[in-house]
Amino acid sequence: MDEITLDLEKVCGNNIYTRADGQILYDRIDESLKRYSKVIVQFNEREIASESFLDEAIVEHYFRQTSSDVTNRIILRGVTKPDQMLLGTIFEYRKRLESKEAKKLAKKIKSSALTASGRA
Amino acid sequence: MKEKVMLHNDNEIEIMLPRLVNESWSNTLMQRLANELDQSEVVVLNAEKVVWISPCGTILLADFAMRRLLRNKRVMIKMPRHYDTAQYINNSGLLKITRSTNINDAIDVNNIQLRLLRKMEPMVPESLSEFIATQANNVNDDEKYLLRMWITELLTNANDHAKSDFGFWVCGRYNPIDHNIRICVADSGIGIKQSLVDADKLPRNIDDKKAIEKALEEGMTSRMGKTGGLGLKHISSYVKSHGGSLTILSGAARIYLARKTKRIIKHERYQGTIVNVMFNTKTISGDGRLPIDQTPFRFE
Repeated sequence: MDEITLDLEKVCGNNIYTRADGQILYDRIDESLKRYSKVIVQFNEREIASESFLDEAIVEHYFRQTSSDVTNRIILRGVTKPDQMLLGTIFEYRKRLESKEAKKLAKKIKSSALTASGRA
Repeated sequence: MKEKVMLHNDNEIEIMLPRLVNESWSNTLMQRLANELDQSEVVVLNAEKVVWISPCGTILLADFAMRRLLRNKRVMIKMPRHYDTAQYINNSGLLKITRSTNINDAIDVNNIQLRLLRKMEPMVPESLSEFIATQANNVNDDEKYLLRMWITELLTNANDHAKSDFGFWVCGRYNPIDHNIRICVADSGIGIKQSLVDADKLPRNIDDKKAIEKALEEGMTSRMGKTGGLGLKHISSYVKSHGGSLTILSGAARIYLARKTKRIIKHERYQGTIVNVMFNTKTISGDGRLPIDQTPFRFE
C-alpha cells in the first residue's frame, strides 16, 4: 500500500494537549513515513488548540526531516481553520528560533577558529 | 485594605477577608494563610464583606482548605452578604471544599470552574473555556479558541514542568462589572527558577525575578536539547498588544505585564508557580496570524 491514514481519535483518543501526548502521534507518523510514501493524518475537524501538542506531533517533522520530502508526504486532513493558523504560527516561530540558533552557532565557530589561528 | 485577624472564640481563628479578594491582596492573604495552616483551632474565613473573589483568590483559599483537610484540620467560611459572591463560593465548589471532612470528597470532578488536577485531564480546557464564554456571553469563536489555547498552555506548563505531588489548580471567571475574563493556574511544584536550573538553562545563583524574566524570553525552555515553545511568550505578547495582563508569581518574585507596564514586585515566597491571565472581552480579538499558504503544510 502506498498511503496510510492515521486517525487522530484512534491514535491519541482524548489526549491531545501535552508534549507527551504529541510525541505519540509524532512516533506514529515517523514509523509510517518509513513504510508508506504518503501519510494522511485525519483530524476530523477536531479542534486541538494546543501549541505543545501540535508542535511536538506535527511541526517537529518539518524541522527534524528524518524522512525526505516531508512537506509532500504528510497530508493533514480535516484540520480546523484556527488550528491551521496555529500550526503556521508555530512553524514561523520555530523557523525564527532555528535561524537564530544557527547564527549563534556560526558566530561561535568563527570566534573559536579565529582564536585557534591566533594561537597558531 | 488591611486584614484583621481575631480570635473568634477559644476554638476559632477568624481571618477577615477584604471586599475584593484579588491579586493585589495575594501577598497579605498568603502570609495570613501560611501562618494559620498548622493551627489546631478551626480557621474561619470571614467573607461577609466580600463582593468579588478572583480566580487567584479562589485558588489560594481552596488550596488552604485542602491543605488543612490533609492535616485533619477544619476551615469554615462565613458566607458573604453579597448575593452573587455567595453564589460563586457555592457554585465554584469552594464551599464544598471547606465543608468536606474527607479529602476524596472535597473536589467534585464534575465541577468546571475550579479544579485540582493531578495530571492534565481531557476536556478540562474545553469545558472551562466554554463555561467562561457562556458567562461572558459576547465571546465569539475566535476568542473562545484563544481562551482555550491559553488555558491549555498554562495547564500543560504546570503538568510538564511543575513536578508537584499535590497537583495543580485551575480556575476561571468572568466579571460582568469590568468585562474581564480571568484565568489562573497554580501549582506547588519546583518553580520556574528550579525548573530552568535543573535543565542547565540558568545558573544556580540566579534569583527568582531574573528566572521569570528569562522564562518569558523567546525560545527559553526547560526541555533538553530542544528549542522552546511559544508558551508564555505568546500569551505575554498577546496581552501586551491587545490589552489585558499577565501576572506570574514564582518563588519570591512576582512579575506583572500589561500593555505598557512591567512591574516586578518582591513577594512572600511561594513554593511553586501561579500564572494569572486577565483580558477584556471588549479588546480581545482573533490572533493576527500569518496566511496559511506561507507554511509548508499540506492541508486537505
